[in-house]
Amino acid sequence: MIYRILLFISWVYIIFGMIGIFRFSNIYSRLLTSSKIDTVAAMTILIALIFKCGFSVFSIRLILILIFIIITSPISSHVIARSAYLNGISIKKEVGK
Amino acid sequence: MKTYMFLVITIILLIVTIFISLIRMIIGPTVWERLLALNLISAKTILILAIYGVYKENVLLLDVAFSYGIIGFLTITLLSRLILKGGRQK
Amino acid sequence: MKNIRKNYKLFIVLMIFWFLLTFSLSLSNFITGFIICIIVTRASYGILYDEKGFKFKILGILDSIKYFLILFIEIYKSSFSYIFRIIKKDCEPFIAEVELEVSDPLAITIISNSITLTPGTLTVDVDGSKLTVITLKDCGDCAVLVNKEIKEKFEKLFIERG
Repeated sequence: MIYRILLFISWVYIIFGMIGIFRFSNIYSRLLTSSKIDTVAAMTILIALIFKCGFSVFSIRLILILIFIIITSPISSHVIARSAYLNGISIKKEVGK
Repeated sequence: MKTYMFLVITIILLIVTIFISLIRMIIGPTVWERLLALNLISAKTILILAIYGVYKENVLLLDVAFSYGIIGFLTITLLSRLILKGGRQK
Repeated sequence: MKNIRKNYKLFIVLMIFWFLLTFSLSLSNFITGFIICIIVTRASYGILYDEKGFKFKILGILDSIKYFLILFIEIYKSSFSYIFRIIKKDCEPFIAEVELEVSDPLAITIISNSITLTPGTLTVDVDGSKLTVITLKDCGDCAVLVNKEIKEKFEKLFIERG
């Protein structure tokens, strides 16, 4: 079944997202990790659920949730990065430590 | 029961990662790391609600997931704007 | 009523979504959906459309399908390369600036969102048509390289439309 393979891939993404959050020592690296790996994990899980349900009432709502996540996830990490950048968290200094 | 095993394992994994990001939220040195952990937790809650709705075959849980996503996005945006303006200090 | 006749497209899209979400064809359901769609169409006068038509340029269907396909492929490629980066632990972010050629606000928003999703970049600030971008690694010529990559991948789609 195709949805089991997709769910298995998503476990790999979730685990590596958690490792990335703890492995890097800089706020911007953590933001880069979370904005990519976790969005991909969410997308993979939702696509797997769509394949499992087929065409029904479920899949329409799942597609809506998928579009919503694709639109809002970069915006929220952008907002956090902008707030940190304008408050003067410098990049070079953090790297030097 | 065996057909739903993958869904159950995914839910358990997501709950474990929520607790791990709670640790990040507690030890995070700056405010923005706490915001980042909040963002992760809200994204994972949407996923748990969606998977549980498919597992129980209940359509209304998906609506709850959608509205929870809207609330989480508004939370992140408003908190970042508040911190950007300086919080209560100004 | 005149506004609604002029903007039947929005009304039809709203009705399609109403039927897809409720999934029943009874008469009371139809009447409720009709009234709500009329109210929403009236209320979005001045926000979404004007007397001349829609305020924003909206992508065509073929263009948007092509765009989503490119976006999905890019997202999965970038995530694979990022996993190896996590294992090797090399990530030294630094700041670059990118000058776009488009001036349409909607196009700039879409481009900066898709930049955030694809490899190694994160949009921080937008000023006019100049983006401030965080990239992964400081490698001397990186700014030029990021510039080229963004322009070849995403901006091309919007420039061709004119």
